[in-house]
Amino acid sequence: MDTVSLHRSVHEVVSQLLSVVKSARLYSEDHVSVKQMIERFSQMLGKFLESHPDLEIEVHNEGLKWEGHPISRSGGRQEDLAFRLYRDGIRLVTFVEGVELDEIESLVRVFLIDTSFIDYQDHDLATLLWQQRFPHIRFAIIESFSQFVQVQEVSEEGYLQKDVDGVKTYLQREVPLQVPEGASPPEETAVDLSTMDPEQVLRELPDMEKIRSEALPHLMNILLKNLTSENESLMTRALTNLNILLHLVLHSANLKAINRMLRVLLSTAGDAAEAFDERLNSTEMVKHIAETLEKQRDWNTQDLAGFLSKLRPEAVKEMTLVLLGWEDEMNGEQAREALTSFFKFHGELLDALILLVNEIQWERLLKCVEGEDNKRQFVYKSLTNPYPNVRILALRDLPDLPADRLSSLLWDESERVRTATLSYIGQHHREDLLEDLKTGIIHSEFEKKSGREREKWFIIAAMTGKEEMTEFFTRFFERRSLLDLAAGDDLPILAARALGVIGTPDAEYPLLAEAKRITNPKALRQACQTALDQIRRKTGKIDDPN
Amino acid sequence: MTRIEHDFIVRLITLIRTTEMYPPGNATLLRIRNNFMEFFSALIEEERSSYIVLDRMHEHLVINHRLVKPDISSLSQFARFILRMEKLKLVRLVLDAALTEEELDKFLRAFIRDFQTPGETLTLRKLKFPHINTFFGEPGSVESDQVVRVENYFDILAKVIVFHRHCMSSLIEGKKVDVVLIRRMVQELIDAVNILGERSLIVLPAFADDFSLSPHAVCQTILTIRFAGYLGFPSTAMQDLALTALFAMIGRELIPESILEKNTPLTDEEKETLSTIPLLSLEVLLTLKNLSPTGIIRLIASYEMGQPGVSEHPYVRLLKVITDYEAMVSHKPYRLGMHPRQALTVLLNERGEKYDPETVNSFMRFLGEWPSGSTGLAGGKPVVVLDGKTMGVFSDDAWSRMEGRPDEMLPLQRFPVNPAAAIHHVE
Repeated sequence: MDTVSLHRSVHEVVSQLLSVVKSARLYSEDHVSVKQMIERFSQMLGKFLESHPDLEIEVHNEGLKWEGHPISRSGGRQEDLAFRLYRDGIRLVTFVEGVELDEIESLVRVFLIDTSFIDYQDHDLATLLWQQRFPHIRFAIIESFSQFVQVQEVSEEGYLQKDVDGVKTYLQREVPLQVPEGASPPEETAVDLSTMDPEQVLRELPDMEKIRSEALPHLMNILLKNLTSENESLMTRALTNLNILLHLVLHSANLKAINRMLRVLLSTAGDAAEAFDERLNSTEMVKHIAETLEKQRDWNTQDLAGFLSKLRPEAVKEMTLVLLGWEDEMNGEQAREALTSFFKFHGELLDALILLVNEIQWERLLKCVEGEDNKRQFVYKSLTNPYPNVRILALRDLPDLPADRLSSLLWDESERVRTATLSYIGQHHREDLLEDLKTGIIHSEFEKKSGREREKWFIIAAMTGKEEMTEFFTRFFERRSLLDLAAGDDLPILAARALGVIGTPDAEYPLLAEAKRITNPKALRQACQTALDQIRRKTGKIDDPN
Repeated sequence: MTRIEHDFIVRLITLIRTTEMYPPGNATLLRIRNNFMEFFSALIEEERSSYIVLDRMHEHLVINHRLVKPDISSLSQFARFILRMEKLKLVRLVLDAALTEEELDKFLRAFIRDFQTPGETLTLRKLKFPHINTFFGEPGSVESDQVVRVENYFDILAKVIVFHRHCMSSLIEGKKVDVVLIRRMVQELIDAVNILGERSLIVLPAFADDFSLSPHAVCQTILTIRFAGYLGFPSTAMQDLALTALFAMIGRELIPESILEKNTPLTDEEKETLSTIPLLSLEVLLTLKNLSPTGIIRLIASYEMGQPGVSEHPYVRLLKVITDYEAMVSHKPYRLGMHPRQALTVLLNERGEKYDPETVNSFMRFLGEWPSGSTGLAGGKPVVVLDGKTMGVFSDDAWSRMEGRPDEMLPLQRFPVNPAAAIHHVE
């Protein structure tokens, strides 16, 4: 194969790997399409290695290369694999014959690890790849001491190498060891190794995962125990350490540890407690904890509810808003349980939140309210929420709103809310709002509304008031002729349509007169005619064409 | 290692690459080959030898029994070349001073051909070159392998000690420390220790008379690596445990030397100061701030190491035995170090009170009755144990090798020379 074809071939294989990593990051490595992509990469790689001894990918600052030819440019961002490989000291990645699918899956898994996450704080790609010991994938990694020297000041470089040479010389010296002056020989003990029990040996290795997950609470126990020590210097040291530990505890978002820390600090150490409390309740910290919890699986409802109860109101609000935005079903469910438990005793915070949530958060928050009465209260109070969609949702859930409330909603700042209110009035046959509807129609602000809204007012008023509204609508015809209103005034047309909706014989008469008046604009005469047809169909005077 | 050896390898690799790309007789190829030959002659003269031996030892290259490590710019080239040698199972290449350009070209073309055509019968093995000898096999099949393993091990060990010193002072001064780099250093140390095997413990007596913290922290880490390997720890857990061992004694750096080295009874105030060592360790390590859960385990271990009695913490159970053993066999300003067999007896006697019994027993089975680095008197001559099968005998200012262990051997406290030097002389 010529170089150009070979280069293209390599480019395809490497691009497939980069696509795998990118897709796995978006969808997860277990997603069916990602698995298919991994298999495809494995096949492509296997095919390449059938006719080539290996596939070497060079890692440069500017991107990935093969035989010096660029195959992928580095984006310089954390998500970019080429960037990460270079940053973490990897300079060559070589696939050799025999690479298996499970090796590639493990490789992808390593590439997906987020080293900013607390579990991997002291790792980079080099350390993670080392742990895997891939039999058929080799990595050339810069020696750590070279990297260490690189970040020192230039003047230090020579000294560091001299130090290393000095230690090596010391190791290999061919002189007797120095005996401490005046040192006494160790106490004589009979050298008796016969009591060694050959059978009693370590049979079970410690469960490392369990140790890791219990590490932070264990550390806290240690420090908190010393905090109550009678030994003053121990107590002082423990307090100093606790102050340093604050950052760690908060960063880890370990709820048990945070809860415990707060509980003890509040009862023992004023300044430290205050500092911790301040830090914990910052917007930034609350958001960080919520975001970290979403990634973790090792917290429960009780921990979260307990944690919320320790936050200040503003922090609770921040936290709740983030929790309500969680997309993961399981996490979301647990969060709701915690919030439900919390709001039982903190109803006032619920009231405050009602005014902050958007429609998605509102629906989820509603699920955190227990009891029909409470739900009703919640929905009712939501009518003052700043988001129009929330007000509309609330309206939908309240079948018997007081008239004064509806009346004010008719004049809501959002047209959508106003039209939803009108629909509500029509749907529930709220005759008690009739006067408000009438007043609204003749209000000077009415003409500023959109055509659609104005029409709705008329129709709803007609549906609600029926015969009672006949005279009201008829007046629009009179008003037109008396005031000689501009031809563009559509109120009479709307009135005609409204009379059509009323559909009684009394409504027919004024329509007849208007329909015949030649001085009326054509649109008005047509509207009247349409309304008349509508009435006649209702009264059976003409056949309904449907 | 001198620069010239490194540059020789880089030139050889460059020549292979050029031979791959250009046909015979090409002007660029001729120029590069000519440059290589000049360099080769200069190296022959520098070595005062009539040949250059290039060995492949695992992931390292060796020239005339000296380890040659790449720098940052040559890392990829070295890795590539080692992989090619590995593929061909080539462990040694001997280039005679009388090597000609034509012969070299023929050899390199065969090398390239064999590498590029997987599955076909290797031709390199069949060809004969008057001034090039090739040896095929697995790493360890050439006699210089052991020497190079030691050299690599000492190189890594020295770097870890220097780095550890730097980390310690940075931590105590509250400066930033790269925790990732620490982990990388440990993994390189693990690799070097595992390649050398049992003999890696030979360095313990070498630092017995050094009172600074870093060499002992690193020795304890080496013991930990070997012991964890013996117990069958997976690599992740071994790395975590080794990291913990490296910083287990850090709190002691903050205690005044006058207290640590005092050889008369301590006052109450001094005892109180010593009792804060665990919390001091925490204080120093907590400055690392963004610790992973594994890092927190290191904090806990550092703390609990200073507590009396048998610890429940699994890491601490292991490390207490290791660190106390290492401390016992090292000199202190006020006492001589114990013989390893004596230290093992102390561990045995304090099982259940200070040390977990199972851990002590496992540790003893791991070390054996005569651990690597322990010294004795056999047939009236000072000997040092290198491993289970080999000993170094020091007599008449010279070293010699002894196979196996004699039935009668007495513990020897004071060896005439640094015992660790044996490792260079008995192969």
